[in-house]
Amino acid sequence: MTNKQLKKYIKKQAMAVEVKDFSSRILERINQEPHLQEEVVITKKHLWNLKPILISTLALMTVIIMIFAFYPDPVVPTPTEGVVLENLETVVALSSVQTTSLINVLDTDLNQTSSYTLLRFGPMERNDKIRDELADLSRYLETIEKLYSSNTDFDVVDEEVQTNGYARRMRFRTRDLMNEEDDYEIQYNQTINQTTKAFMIQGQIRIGEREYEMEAEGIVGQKGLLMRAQKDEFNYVILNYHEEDDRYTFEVELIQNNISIEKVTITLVMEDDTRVATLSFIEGESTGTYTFRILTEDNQRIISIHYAIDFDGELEEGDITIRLLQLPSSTIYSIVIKPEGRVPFTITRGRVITGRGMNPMGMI
Amino acid sequence: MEQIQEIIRELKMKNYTHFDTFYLLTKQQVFFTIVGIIKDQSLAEDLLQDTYMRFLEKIDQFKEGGNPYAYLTTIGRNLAFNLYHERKKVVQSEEIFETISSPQEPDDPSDDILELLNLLDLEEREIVTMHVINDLKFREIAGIMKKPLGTVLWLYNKAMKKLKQEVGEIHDEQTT
Repeated sequence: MTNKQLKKYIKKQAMAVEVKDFSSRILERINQEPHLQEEVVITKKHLWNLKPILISTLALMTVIIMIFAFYPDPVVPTPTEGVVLENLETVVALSSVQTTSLINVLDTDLNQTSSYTLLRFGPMERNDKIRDELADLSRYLETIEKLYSSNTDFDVVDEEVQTNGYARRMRFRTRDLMNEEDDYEIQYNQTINQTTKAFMIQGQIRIGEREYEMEAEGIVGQKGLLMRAQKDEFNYVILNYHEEDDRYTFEVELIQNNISIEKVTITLVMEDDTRVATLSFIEGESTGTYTFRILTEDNQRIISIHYAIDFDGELEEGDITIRLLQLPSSTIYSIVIKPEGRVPFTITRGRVITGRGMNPMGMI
Repeated sequence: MEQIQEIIRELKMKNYTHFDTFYLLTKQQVFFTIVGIIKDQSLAEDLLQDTYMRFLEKIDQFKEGGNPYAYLTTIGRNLAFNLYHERKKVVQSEEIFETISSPQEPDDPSDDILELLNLLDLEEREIVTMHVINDLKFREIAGIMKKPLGTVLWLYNKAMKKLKQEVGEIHDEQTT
């Protein structure tokens, strides 16, 4: 039974259920409600009421402004020597991987992102939209590679230092599907509001020769973090992490030239001792949901994805297999798309790993 | 849909001449929205009426050309959840769902749509109801449920798999 048949079946069954006709009873209730009756009396407008409202509003605003202007904040955040990121180190590491890999492409790739506006989708239009979505998805493949290939704790070392005006340093290491390593370093200062336990860290993420300013905030002891990493003040990535019921969720927003261009959520759950990542496009041109797994094929690791894309109310599912293809001068992604019930097709895309120089990102 | 929009224009003028038609065209969707949450036919019928009363009270806020099913669904859902939270004990009884009358053969669970939907979790049931029965788009559902679109798609996908398995199994048994 296809989804379409099942939908038709559910709809038919639902429409066959007898729902009583309460329209007369509702009309009776309407008749008992004077405000639902046709108005025949024109009430006098009390324009004179505006003056006291205006005066009281102005008075209230003045009081509020006075409070904000002259009442000092009783608790000022202070630098602290404790480790505010305790239990959040791996989250910070993974967040840094995500944000830096995205900043990396902010000015190189977005002219090749999706731009689909068709409302009717035939098989060819569907394939074109999937191609467009994969252009957007490829931005996140570095994160996926590193998430699945690195040690679970990213070998994080967080320590006190005194370098470049920063009091702390966090180092961590990632691996990708080809087992190549990248070293990250975050130099940062931290402050904490001792009353609210709200902390803020501010510093720099360094990967290879690239450096990005970053800041993050959260509450000590709570499983949440808001991070912003920027290329410059107009181009940056915001990441909001929270954990609930062993479900780790990262909401990631890309800002280009001060305009939000894409929002995704990446959730991580453990299923049968396997880490499963799901990426969903929330805002932007892409709309699909992609569930990632890493499989081994001929001693090589491949990315296996199950996708679901809404084509104007029709949900299409399928599988995508991504293999790394080594060319003489670069490594690219070879992507096989198998839509359910339709003919498979293949595309290739460039592979970019932050801090190792740029490969072409466009479709080859 | 044009007929519904036309009646809504009349209702905005407090002209209820065609309210019965409006009710007839929308009651199924509102009922399933509510009963999927509170699982009690009698309470669902009460809330069904309250939903239409609230709809008429707030009709000025309904934007011309908007989706009336989405608007009614939102109102019905809010009322149902208010009651759901007040009467959690009532909801805990899964048996209540089975008391709702259905014109189909009672021996075949796949033919009882309410029983079939009861196989789903609350969120899954809501999404299937809103998309399949109420014809709402996933983006509209995401807005109503205040959930990311991806989560809605993912839950829908999961729900349809469950239902497909159930309906498929029963139909396979019937054919063998």
